[in-house]
Amino acid sequence: MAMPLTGVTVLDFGQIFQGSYATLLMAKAGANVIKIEPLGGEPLRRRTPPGDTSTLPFAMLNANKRGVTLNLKAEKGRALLFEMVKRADVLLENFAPGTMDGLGLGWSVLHPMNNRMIYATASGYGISGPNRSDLAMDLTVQAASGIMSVTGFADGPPVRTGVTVADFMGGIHAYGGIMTALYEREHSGEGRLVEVAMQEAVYFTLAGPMEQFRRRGEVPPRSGNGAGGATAPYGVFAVKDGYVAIHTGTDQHWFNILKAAGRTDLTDDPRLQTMHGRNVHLDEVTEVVTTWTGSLTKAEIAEQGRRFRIPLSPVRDVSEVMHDEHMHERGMLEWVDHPDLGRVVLPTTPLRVHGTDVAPAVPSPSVGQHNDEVYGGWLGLSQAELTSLRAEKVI
Amino acid sequence: MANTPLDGFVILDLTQFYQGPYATMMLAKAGADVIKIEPPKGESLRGMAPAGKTGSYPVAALNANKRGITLDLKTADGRDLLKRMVLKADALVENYAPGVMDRLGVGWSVLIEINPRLVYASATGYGLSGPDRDNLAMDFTIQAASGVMSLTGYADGPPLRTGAPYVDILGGAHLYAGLMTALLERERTGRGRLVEVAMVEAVFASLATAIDQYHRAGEKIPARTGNAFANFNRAPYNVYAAKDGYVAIILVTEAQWQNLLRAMGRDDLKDDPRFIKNDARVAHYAETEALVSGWTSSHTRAEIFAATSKFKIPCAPVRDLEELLNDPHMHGRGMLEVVDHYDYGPVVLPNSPLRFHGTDTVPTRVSPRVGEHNDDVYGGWLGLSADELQRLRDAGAI
Repeated sequence: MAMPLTGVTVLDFGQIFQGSYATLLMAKAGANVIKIEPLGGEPLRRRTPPGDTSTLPFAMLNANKRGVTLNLKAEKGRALLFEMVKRADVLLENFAPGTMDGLGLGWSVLHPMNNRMIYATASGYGISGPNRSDLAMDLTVQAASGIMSVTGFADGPPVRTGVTVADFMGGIHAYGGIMTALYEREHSGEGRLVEVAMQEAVYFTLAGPMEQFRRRGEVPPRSGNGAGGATAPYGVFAVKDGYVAIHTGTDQHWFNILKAAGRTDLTDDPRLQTMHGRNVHLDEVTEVVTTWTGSLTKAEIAEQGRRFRIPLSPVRDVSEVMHDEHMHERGMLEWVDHPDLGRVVLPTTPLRVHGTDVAPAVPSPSVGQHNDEVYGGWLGLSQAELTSLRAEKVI
Repeated sequence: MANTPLDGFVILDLTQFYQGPYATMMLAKAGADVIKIEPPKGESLRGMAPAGKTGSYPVAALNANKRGITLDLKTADGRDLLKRMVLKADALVENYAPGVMDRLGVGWSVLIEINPRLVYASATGYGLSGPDRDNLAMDFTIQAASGVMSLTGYADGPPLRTGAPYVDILGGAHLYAGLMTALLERERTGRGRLVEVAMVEAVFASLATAIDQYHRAGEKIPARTGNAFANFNRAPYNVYAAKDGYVAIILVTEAQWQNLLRAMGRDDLKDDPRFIKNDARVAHYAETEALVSGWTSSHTRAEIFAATSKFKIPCAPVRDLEELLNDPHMHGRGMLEVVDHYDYGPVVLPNSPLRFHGTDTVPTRVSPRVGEHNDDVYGGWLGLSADELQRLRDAGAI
């Protein structure tokens, strides 16, 4: 099959979300990704409910990878890693900074063994600087990075984004950094140490709030679902069976809303021609919008948004998103028979390189599922060696 | 040759607002020659600048290290110029609505005939195919469509927007990733590709935990839980009030609970059956939360952070924009730097979050004014004469 990363071998020490997302996208682009876990499996496996051996997040993030176990605390385990490093193009890890160095397996040790290999490290705050050792989880990075401070209502506490923001931001940046280094290697012949910090990957999301901060000269209050006066109408409005988010980006969008709402009598109203004017008369504008949205269902308002060219979307829940006809038709989502979970919806990859073959879905591996294939087949160890490594709890 | 990963690389950057410019900013910071091509009045984001300024903080942050030229694709001269540049470029990046470039006669199928090595990268809200392709997309509406908003906020309130437009930036990071993948492949095949990213798809994986809760609960939609974990299944996991603001605290292991008790000076509770394991603490949720918030509310953020750091408990003060701009850590690492910008004077601007150790750091050049590099690019790089340039100016093509 012709896929962009065919022939690229990745040693994947990714765990939980950040690292595993980057290597998932590599596997989906055709790379040979070998997920290397401690003997008990990586931490995300331990969040499995009793009686189950996998979870949907694990299945999502580890599809199309082969799984092996390796005890890095054993000398023979480290020796096995060195053998793999000699044959690999990329090693990725998202341990806390210094962990691999502490094991004697850091960049400075591995680079001389294979100077073409790219070593990628993803962490919360980076591998240098005063906060390097701060413990980083998505929630704490949301707090430290400033995202949380701009989410919520002025009279309430800062609010967390209900999905995992920082981990996935970090993961996609790690992927991008690795591709860049692989590209550079084509010309230089040398691998690089590539580094991503979640906090930094999130920084640019605050560009807009920073502008408000600069204009006011003080930190702006949280504005809930409002635009803080920048545009109108803008917000989350109730419909018969839920909510709709509307973002009026241009004055034309307002005129389109008036058509959809049957209120073209206001089209020429001089008070409501500009964003500024509509902000001055926001109560009246909001009344027009809520009367219109309140008379429709989510499906009806989505249809009107398309017909009248209004930037809006029903607020969709997890189930609606997983069963979204659009993403299924495009192949972003697919039904997969997973050995542990049964028939489930799993994502493929948001990176579409047209004209290449698409990797067929392969369910996430069980712990050590590919030990024989990788250590026996790829590294060429004998059956006897494999048995003894198992007995010594090296693999 | 400069010691940067993308030295020598030429990118035609037709992007606007946040998503596309974020991808090309990272290309520029990795050493590529990024030529930002704007309509003669400047791209849409410039229109939001305050009176008397040519840009805003987002323009400055997202367009550093790019050269800026103007081009009117609605004129035949303009389209001709674009095709001449395509001949000499490695990649073209755009985030117009699906079909816009095709209607102008400069879509992928036309340009790949001119330069078979060209990588053409497109970023949109919903993608170039499928029933929702033509839905109008903004960060805010994709937050709603992607499910993120349904999970943010409180059970008794409306769905809540994330105040930072992270969906745009996430889409832009995916665009960079896809573009680099195709460039890498081109080294082997010699062929360019059409690369496509849709915001609604770039967000999907970040729903992993919510999808897990939905699946475990027998396909029941989890309620919004504010700052608490989905279905209130973990404790402590929340944002707690301190004397001077808020802190986020999250426990991952049982050892961390014992450490938290020590940090709070409540070692007397170490064997208390109400709190001994996460399940017990979830069963005694209100008591657990009261215990933690009682402690945090009588201390400052700095005191709490010092104590949690000492005892290895994941915690972070909720920082505001001012604290962020002055963060010694990110300044120390070179992620943030003070730059003298023509619109602002000294201003804190970010660098690329992609770090390639051992390479040279590309020195920051401030974002270009509209058409600042017209002479440089059209004259110097494309080799147009001064007369031709004047004619194109007069015709309104540039």
